[in-house]
Amino acid sequence: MTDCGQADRISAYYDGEIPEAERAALEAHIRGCPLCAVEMARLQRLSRLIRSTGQVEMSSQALERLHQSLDLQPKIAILHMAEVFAAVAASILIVSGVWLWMISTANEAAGQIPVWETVAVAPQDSSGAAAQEQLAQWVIQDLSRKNGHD
Amino acid sequence: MDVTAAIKTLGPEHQEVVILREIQGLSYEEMAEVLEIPRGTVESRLFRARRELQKRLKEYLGS
Repeated sequence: MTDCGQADRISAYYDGEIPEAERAALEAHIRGCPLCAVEMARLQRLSRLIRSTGQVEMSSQALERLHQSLDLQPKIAILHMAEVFAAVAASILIVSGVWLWMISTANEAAGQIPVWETVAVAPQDSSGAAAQEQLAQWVIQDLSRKNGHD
Repeated sequence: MDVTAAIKTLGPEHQEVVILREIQGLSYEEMAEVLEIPRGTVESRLFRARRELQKRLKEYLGS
């Protein structure tokens, strides 16, 4: 196969793998080089042929080599996952911080926390029914106030 | 010789790069990472692999 000595670069150019700094000069060369134009056409035909085949098999030896390489990939995958988790954790922290700040601002704007809410979440002592009755009174008063039934 | 048979006649190193690029669509950088070889080696290996395939599949590819 005849080529002008740039065929290896044409292969990389075909794959979109030529650095930007080099690309303009190579494109200028391709425009003026019939051999490179032929090479580009060959590469396209080869790609189409391979992809049209569907399931392409590798020899067992090549497959074994590839598996050995891929066995080393978990290390890389774990590093990628750690980066993703760190980004997600940072996002959650930011969102939570903003949410807590908004809640505290809203509470300040709404005034004091109703007494019954404080009592309802406080540990219960053993005073029993009287305490429950007092709590019910506070709830009714608070709801009445909120609903404008003072 | 069909495409699969032609690919299988390539050396293992050439088969890998052809499959990873043409079928899996990996970039040179990704192939370099997967195969643990320099990016320049990916480029030259893929070029030679394609050359070999073009010779073997001449009847399908024309001139």
